Amino acid sequence: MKKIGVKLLQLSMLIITFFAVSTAASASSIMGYQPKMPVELQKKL
Amino acid sequence: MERLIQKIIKTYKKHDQIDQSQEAILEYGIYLIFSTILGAICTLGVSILLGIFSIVAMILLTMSILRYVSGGAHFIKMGHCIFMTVVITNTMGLVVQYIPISFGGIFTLSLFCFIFALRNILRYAPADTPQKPIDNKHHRKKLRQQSLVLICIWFIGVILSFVNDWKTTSKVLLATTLAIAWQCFTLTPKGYQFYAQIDTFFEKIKGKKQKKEAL
Repeated sequence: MKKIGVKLLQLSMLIITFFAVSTAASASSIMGYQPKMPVELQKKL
Repeated sequence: MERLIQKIIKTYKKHDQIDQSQEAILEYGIYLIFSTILGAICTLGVSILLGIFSIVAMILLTMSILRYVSGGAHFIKMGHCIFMTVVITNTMGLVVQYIPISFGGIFTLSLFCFIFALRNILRYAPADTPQKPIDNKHHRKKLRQQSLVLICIWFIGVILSFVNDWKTTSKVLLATTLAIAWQCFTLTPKGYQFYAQIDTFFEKIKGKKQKKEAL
């Protein structure tokens, strides 16, 4: 059970990272709020 | 909001090894997901109450897709963004639902909107912000081209509807026209000015509230 929980947590991390990276590659976020893009992500692009 | 995000990151840290760069990316991603989900829930929730869910969903989707490639002005706070998205999209929804415009009239509006969109995209897209600057020339060119392609596909759809006299699509056409017109307005310097003025207005209200509470 605990293993499944950790796997789900990792999956959510993957989804969040994907969302962050795809937004970084786009012109802007899809809503009217744009948080400051981290330097780490700017370097990766 | 800040506390909630830090709590989520702590949970990730407990169960998985993440370094500083991963943490920064996660924080950014969580902010984006929260603002998107909260914005969509509030906007669509109000639209359900007003009985214009499908129209507002269409407007929101059109604006989001175009904003993704063309960029545009942004609010400085998530709350301002959510409130204004609810107001703007639902007002547009009410216009589409209750103001009768002939099919020919909608086509004329769409044509003007297409010209307005072309002009603004060619001049200003991708419109970036200090929070997320786009410096790469190649990237900028690609995003501008994608915006142009999207607008052209939309207008081909409009022409097809008009030529085939698909009157049932009139609400869809008007909804997408208004959404594109607004989104293209946010690309312009006047659009940026408008968003900044709204931000200042909200900050003033907050300042007054805080003063009252302090007294």
